[in-house]
Amino acid sequence: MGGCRNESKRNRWNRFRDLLDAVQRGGLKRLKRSDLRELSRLYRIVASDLARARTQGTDPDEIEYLNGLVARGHSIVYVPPISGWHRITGFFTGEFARLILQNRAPLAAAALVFLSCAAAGYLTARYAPTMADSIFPRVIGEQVYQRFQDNTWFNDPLSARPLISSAIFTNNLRVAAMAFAFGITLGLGTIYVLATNGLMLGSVAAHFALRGHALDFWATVLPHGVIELSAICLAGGAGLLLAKGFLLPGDYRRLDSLAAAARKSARLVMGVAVLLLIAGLIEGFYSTARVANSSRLVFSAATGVLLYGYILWPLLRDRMNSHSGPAAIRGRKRGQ
Amino acid sequence: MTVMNEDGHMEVLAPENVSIEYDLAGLGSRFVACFLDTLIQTALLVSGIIVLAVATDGPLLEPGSINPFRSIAGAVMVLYSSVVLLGYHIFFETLWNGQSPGKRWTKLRVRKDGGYGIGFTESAIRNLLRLVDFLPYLYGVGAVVMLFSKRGKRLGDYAAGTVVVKERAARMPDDRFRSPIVEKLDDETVRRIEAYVSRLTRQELSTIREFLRRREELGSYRADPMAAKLYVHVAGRMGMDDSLPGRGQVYTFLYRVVDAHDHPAGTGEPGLMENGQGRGVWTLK
Repeated sequence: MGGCRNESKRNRWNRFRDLLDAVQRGGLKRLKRSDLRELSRLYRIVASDLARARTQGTDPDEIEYLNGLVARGHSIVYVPPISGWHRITGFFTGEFARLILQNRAPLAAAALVFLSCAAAGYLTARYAPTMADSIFPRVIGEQVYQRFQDNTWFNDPLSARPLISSAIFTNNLRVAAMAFAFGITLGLGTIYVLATNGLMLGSVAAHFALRGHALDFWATVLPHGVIELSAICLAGGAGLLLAKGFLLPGDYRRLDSLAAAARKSARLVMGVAVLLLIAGLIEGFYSTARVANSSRLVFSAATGVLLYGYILWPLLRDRMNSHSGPAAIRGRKRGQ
Repeated sequence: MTVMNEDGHMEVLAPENVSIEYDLAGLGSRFVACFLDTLIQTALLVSGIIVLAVATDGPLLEPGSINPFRSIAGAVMVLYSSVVLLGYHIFFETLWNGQSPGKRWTKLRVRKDGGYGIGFTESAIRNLLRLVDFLPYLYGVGAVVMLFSKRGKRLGDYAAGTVVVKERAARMPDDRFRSPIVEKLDDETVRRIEAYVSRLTRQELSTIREFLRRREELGSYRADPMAAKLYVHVAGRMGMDDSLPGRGQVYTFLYRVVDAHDHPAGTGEPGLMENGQGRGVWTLK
């Protein structure tokens, strides 16, 4: 064992550590091209130094030190692709819609839970009001209706709308985040969030219907509601997808399947956040403005066509491009 | 890639075919990191409110109308607070390769199960699931899940496929690649170690190993009494008298025991090398 060999070893360890420190301080982008090359070269050399030190059972301090260096290097040399603007735009110009289409089952299940609870809320509040009280208190519907009667809804001046929009957006974002995150409770929490929101919508709608204001209600809710309620269902679907990943792992290990499902779910939630931002702006600026019911309904229909056209576009395009139709999407899913 | 783990650490096989060991973060250090992050978040929120309140001094509601300037300021505030509450961890963990300010302070880092750095998606998943881990109060769910988890994961870590590891303080071993505390053991002791090491149970050996691995981190103030205790126990098991030799002798003895187990004499495996001049001095082969 020559002293000079050790000297050069020490030098390269020091050099490697300095490069790691530089990356930690300023990020990879600040590193010179030559330094970058040296970093990856030294990483491999120091990794083999560690392997040698382990098998030779030399000084534990040395193994410990090299282990630390290699661990730091490993997290720098192997990083997931950095997301840039092109990846974000790519997400919204195709990936989001495809994700929705590929995960139709949990998303449809979420929408089904939401809509059936809304229908149940509506029917009980309308035709069995006493029973409805034990499911969902009518007080809330009463309060909403009262606001409508007092005309405080449409009295908010234009100046208040930024505040209203942002408050609505953050509240909806919280509901969506909960609907997703509670998927980890085997989907039970997600179903609870979807059910309570559905019941609320249905019972409030029933209150307006009972007093002959059904049209006013839907004309006020739908301009933002088409997007907002779809987004909440998507978030709930992301939660159920998470639960599905855990409960039905298929060929994968259960935890790997959970993690894979979570990646898809999280990307869905990102899209949901943008949809909610749009819905919040509509709700703050359009839904509460004084506009005729007819134009509100036309506006709602337009948002519906745009949203579902956007979601179904990849499917339509594939169908136009090839005769295989939906198989093209299924094929891509298998390929992933 | 194999990932195996025992209590408190995790071993990852890197693509270079060398295994890297990580110490997993415990409940305590993660709580401290989280506490610090919460303090910073609170400071960000409070300072935001103060700046906005000073900049837009006056009531939001004026008789009959709302001040539009203050309404926009209010909207900015509402968005700012949700960005601070939801986005703080995601922002820093993505930017700083798995560290938030609190984690950086406590020397913790989030990594993928395979030891790789995390990206935006992993960070978004584990931090959105904070909503569940936080329940019912102060990370009750997260703490219970962590206690039952082999790798100290909360629900967010399970969903994101991440672990939180300690960043070890990398200290260059001394000039001659020699443990500074290594001393010469007398021949009788060396003979006894080699003869009786097989009496030790796996638990005893892994306790010694674990202790030696962590002695730097413990500091001699806490490590020395533990070393003495271990020495008395192991020496007793080997039928030696339990009077305590000097500090260097105690540590050398413990290293020697582990080494004798890993590389039994006569197997031809390279063990601790003893060079001609100073017996008991470990050097590179």
